[in-house]
Amino acid sequence: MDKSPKNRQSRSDTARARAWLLDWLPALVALGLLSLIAEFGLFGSADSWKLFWSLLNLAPGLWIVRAVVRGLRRADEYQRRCQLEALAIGFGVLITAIYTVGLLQAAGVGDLRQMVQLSFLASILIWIAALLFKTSRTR
Amino acid sequence: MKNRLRELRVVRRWSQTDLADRLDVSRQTIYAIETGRYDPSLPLAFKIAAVFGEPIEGLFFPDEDTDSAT
Repeated sequence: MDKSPKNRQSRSDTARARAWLLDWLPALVALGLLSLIAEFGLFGSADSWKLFWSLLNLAPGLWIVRAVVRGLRRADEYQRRCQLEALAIGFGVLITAIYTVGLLQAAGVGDLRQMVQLSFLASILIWIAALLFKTSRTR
Repeated sequence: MKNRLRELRVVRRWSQTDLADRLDVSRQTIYAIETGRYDPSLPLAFKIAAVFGEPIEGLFFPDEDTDSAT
């Protein structure tokens, strides 16, 4: 990446990037820890406390929602437009995918529960890809 | 819309980042405005006009090709 003075980030870019990292970091660390706990069956996550540990994933999820909203509020008007368009694409993919999985499940095409998780992950990746594509020519 | 942002910025020997810092926006936003990919809101247009010390109508012009259709 070109880091020449001409292409350096503006002060508001730097401040936003720092705030973005601080907003996302707790959720990402929590998700990583919860994954490890679930993977290794620690603290009863494989037995009696399974429901508790599963639902605890909602906490970092809600934290991410908070981070996204705060990021949108901090963004300037052009960035906000790009982010909203990318979010709309990701949301559209998620709704379509989950609706399709639901239809297939109702039609009795096997057990598709894993596909719900995959739809969720794919929609996040598509959201990020759409944002990078939208802003690639202006970097 | 067309604009004279790049022209006025270059005359002052400001980089896109310099202008972004003065307007408290991202460098991407400056690039998008200069290349006509994005038309700024009225508040940002006023801010740009103030930074350059020019009236808004001296900075932004209707693009005959695209604006006449609307």
